[in-house]
Order: sequence, then structure tokens, then C-alpha cells
Amino acid sequence: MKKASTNTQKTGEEESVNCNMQLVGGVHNQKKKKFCRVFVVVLISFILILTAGFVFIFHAPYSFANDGLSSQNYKNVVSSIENIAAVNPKINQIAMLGSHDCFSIDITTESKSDPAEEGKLLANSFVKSLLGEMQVRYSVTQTVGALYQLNAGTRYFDVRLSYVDGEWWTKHGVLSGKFEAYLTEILQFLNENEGEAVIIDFQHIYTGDVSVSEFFDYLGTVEVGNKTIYDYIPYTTTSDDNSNIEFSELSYNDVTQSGANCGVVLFVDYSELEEDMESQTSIFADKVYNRYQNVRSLWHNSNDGDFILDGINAECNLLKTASTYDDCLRINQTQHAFQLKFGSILRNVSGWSLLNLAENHNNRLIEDENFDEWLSAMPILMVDFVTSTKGDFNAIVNQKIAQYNANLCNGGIG
Amino acid sequence: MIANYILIVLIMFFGGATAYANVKKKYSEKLIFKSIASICFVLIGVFSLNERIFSTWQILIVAGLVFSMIGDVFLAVHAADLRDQKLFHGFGLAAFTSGQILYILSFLILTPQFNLLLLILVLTLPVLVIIGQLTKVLEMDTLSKVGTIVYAGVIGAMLATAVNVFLSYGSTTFSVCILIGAISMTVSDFALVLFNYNRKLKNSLYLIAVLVFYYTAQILTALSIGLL
Repeated sequence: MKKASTNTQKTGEEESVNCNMQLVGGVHNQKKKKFCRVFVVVLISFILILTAGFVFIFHAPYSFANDGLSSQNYKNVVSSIENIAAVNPKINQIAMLGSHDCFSIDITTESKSDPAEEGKLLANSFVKSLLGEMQVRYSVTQTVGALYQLNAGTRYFDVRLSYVDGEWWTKHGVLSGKFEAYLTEILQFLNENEGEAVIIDFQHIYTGDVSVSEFFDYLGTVEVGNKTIYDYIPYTTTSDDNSNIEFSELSYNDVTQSGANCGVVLFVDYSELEEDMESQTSIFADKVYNRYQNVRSLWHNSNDGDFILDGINAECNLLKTASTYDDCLRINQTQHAFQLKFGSILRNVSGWSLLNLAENHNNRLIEDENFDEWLSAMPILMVDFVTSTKGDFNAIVNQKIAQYNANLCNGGIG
Repeated sequence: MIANYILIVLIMFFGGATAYANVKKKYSEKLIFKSIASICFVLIGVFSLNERIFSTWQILIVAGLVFSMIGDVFLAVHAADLRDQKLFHGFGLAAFTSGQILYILSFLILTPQFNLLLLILVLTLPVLVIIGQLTKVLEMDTLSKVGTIVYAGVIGAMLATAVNVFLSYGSTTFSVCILIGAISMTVSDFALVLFNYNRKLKNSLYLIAVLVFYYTAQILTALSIGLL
């Protein structure tokens, strides 16, 4: 009985242990299942977010920036400066609104690669396909063509060109449109107005298998009203008999024939082209200044607005305290740039596009207390999205520049 | 579940928008719309899963939906360079094939036995493709020929295992969803092969039919998770 009782007790204990084990096992299984559930949901959420992020951040074709259709009331921003012909300021003293990468409006995901960018990560066609619209958003800097920009007060054009398949293309990372269309619009403006000075700065030219002289000759073939760009350059930049005018001496009256016509100043960077001015065979080579010797233009290479403002202030101080660049055309580069540095990736995403960044940043520029100081140190204010209407940017910047130039020509500024 | 109804409406809307963007050659929009539609069918799967105990077959179907979504994204990326386009298509096809294999595994887990007669179905689809290639109904390069035959085999296996689920479970809502989903997927893929590799069939309406069958397939497969 005792034995049986012990056996029964034992069986009861075993059952109880089994029961406890099952209970522990059940709880363990439930925990395992719960962990599995959470893991799968987290993993799927992660994949979904990653996919949505990839698609929306890289491939959304919308800029959400304002339309940039500012008024076109600034056709005479230079000629309307009171006493300008009488005072005859040097070209590098006149404040002007500048357009960064001015002819990038035709860039799309279908744009051809720029041969000058070959070998760079962002020029790789596979990377371009992955980046999709993001590359477009970070390449397009303006929303309107040359004529509209001129009518909206732009007088300095930052141009980049590549020679591809027998034609000159504008570009910014990738090819944009054919230069001839933009040049025709500039000639149309020059033809229809008087006393306006326009600076065309060919910052980067990829000549491919031809020399830059062929580019100079090409410029002489594009006509509007029987006039080419060279008909608006009544002076020479180089000569054997010292009849040329050094850029440091080039004045408003030299360029515009005392306000009677429109005039143009051209720059080409010979150092980048690895060619020298003297060996050029084109008869038009003496119509172009060497950018390397005559332009001071510091690129801040950042997508951080605060960093750019600090850089502008530092550059302003440098130019105010040192006389090294007094004779140069001094450009205030205010624009953002796409960055592949680790800390800048989020800013690329949140900034969305160069146009979005510019429409906000441009307003910070005109509201800055040092704005007039900047103009006196760097009279060319080069911006992305020159025609932005957010905060009435285009109108205010033109008014500020006009005020500065009025002071310049009426004894306010030395 | 109301969320699933909303997601189905969203799939219909963005599926239609995908077709429109495709006709208008707006490739970025097409990618975005197609991705939203794909995210929606993955979410239908996830929401159906949420109500039930996690079984291996359910997780395999959700994984299949996720791979299909990745495949959709890669197939919709538009590259200016033809070689890059082929590369993206390759990634897309690989993801898509993986998705189909996961469906096959899931359907096999659901059934204790496989009816060997269904092997005929597995072989029929690649044979149809080979006949199409030999009679020049389908014109493609060698790599595409091999790829299409292999993919037809995978789709055939998916269809066969789905029919096997139907035969095992009888005519229930769950098994009918799996079966119609598999048939829709097969029709969609064959229509797409014809659209891509037959010279005469280039009408954009035809592509809309491809999308209708495709989303029907994915919705039904996703819904089946919550029906057993």
C-alpha cells in the first residue's frame, strides 16, 4: 500500500513536473512566437520603408519650389543707373545679379552624360539610373531661359559647355540643351536694348577633340539681326600694339560705347583648357579675357546654408583687407552643392532640390545685414534660381543692386 | 477588414495611374505609382497575417509579396543606358522569380501530398514558350530565350502547386483565392511575354490587361493569408 501510495505520489509528482514543463514550454513557445511576430513585422516595415525611401527620395520628379516666373521689369537694370555713362565705373565695380549654371533648365533623367565627367561616380550611368530624379533635382539650378533671366535682371551668366557630336551643349553634371538656343536669346536681348552690359563667363569648357579656337569661331557664326556676339564687343583683350584694354581697366563706356549699345564681356579659363591665349588661331581670340587671371570666384562646396554664409563673410573680409583681387571680377558664389559626404546626405534629402534650397537661402542672403558689404567686396551676386519669387526675392534683390549701383555712380561708394 | 478594402482601392487607383504613366512615358511617375501599389499588396498580406498565428506558409507568402514588390521596383526603374536597363530587368526578374519560388514553397507546405499528374502543368508552360520561340511568335535573344523558359517553368510550378492546394482543400474561399491568384499571375506573365516579344501585340490596352491580372493575383494571394 505504502509502495503503491509512493508510486501514486511519484506519478502525481511526475505529472505535476510534466505539467509545469508543458507550462514552461508553452510560455517559452509563446515568447518565441511573439519574438518571431515582432521580428517579421520589423523586418517587413524596414523593407517597406527602404523601398518607399528609395522610390520617393530618388525618383520623385517634383521640386515643390515656386514657379520662378518673376516679373520681367528689369530689362534696363544697368542702363537705368543715373549718371552711369558720366561716372563710367569699371565693369568689376558694377553690382550685377548672376545666374549660377544658368543654362541647366533642359536637364532630365534622359539627359546624355557629359564626357568631361567621365570616371566620376555621379557620371556612372548605373548610379544615375539609381539616383533618378534626385540627380535632376540637384542639377537644375534655374527655371527659365536666357531671355527671361535677362529681363529679370540677370547680367552675369555662369556657363558650362561640352562639345559633343559636333555641337556645343550646356551642362551641369549631365548635358542640358544646345548652347545655340540660349545664345540666340542673349543676342535677341542685346539687339533690342541699349546701354546694358552682359558678362558671359565660360567657367568650364570641354572641347573634346577640337581646340577652344573652334569654339570662338563657332560663336561668330550665330547671328540675330545680322549681328554676332562679337559685334557687342567693341574692344580687344589682347593686342601687339597695346590697343587692347586690360580687364582691370575695362569700363562701362568701353563695353557699351558710352551707353549707345549693349556690350558683352567674355571669359574663358585657359588654364583649365590647358591651352594658352597666344597660340589661338581664331580671329576672335582677342575678344575674350582669360578667366584664370581676371576672375576671383570662391566656391564654398557645401549644402549647408550656415556654412556658406560663414564662407561668404570670410571671403568678404579677405577681399576687403587684401588688394590681390582688386582688379578682378569678384563673384559671390552663394549657391548650394550636392554633397556625397556622410554628414551631408540627410541635408541632400531634406533640401530636396537646388531650387528648393535656393528659394529659401536666397531670402537669407538679401536679409543679411552684411549684404551691402558683400556687394562692395564681390559685386557679382551669383545665385541659383535667380527668378525665385518666394519672399519676392527677384524684385528685392534687383532693388538692392540698383540702390548699390545708384550709390556707386552718385558718390556714395568709392 | 476595412484596411484591406482601402488598400485594394488604392491598388486599383495606383495600378491605373501606373498604366497611364506608362502610356505617357512618364517613367519616374510610373515607378512611384507602381511602388505604391506594390507596397499596398504587401500591407494587405501583413494585415491579414496580423490576425492569425504566424505559420511558416503565411510568412513565406508575405516574403513572396515582398520579393514581388522589390521585383516591381527594379522592373520599373528606367535607365537611359540599355545595358543598365538590362541589369535592372535582371535584378527585377531575379527578385520576382524568388517571390514565385517562395509561393511554391508555401503551397507545398500547405499540402501533404503532391499530385504527380500536375507535373504536366509544370512542363506545359515552358513547352508553350519554346513553341512560341520556334514559330517566331516570340522573338528574343539567346539570354532572354533561356530566361523566359526557366521563368515559365517556375510559373508552371507555382500554378501546379496552387492547383494542388485547390485539390487538397476542395472548393473553399481560401483555395479558390490561391487558385484564381495563381491563374491570374500566369495569364499576366504570359501576356507580358507576348507584349514584350511579339512584334504585333504593342497596344497599350494590352499592357493594362497585364496589370489588371497582375494586381488581381497579388491581392488574392495576399488575402488568402487570413482565410485559412
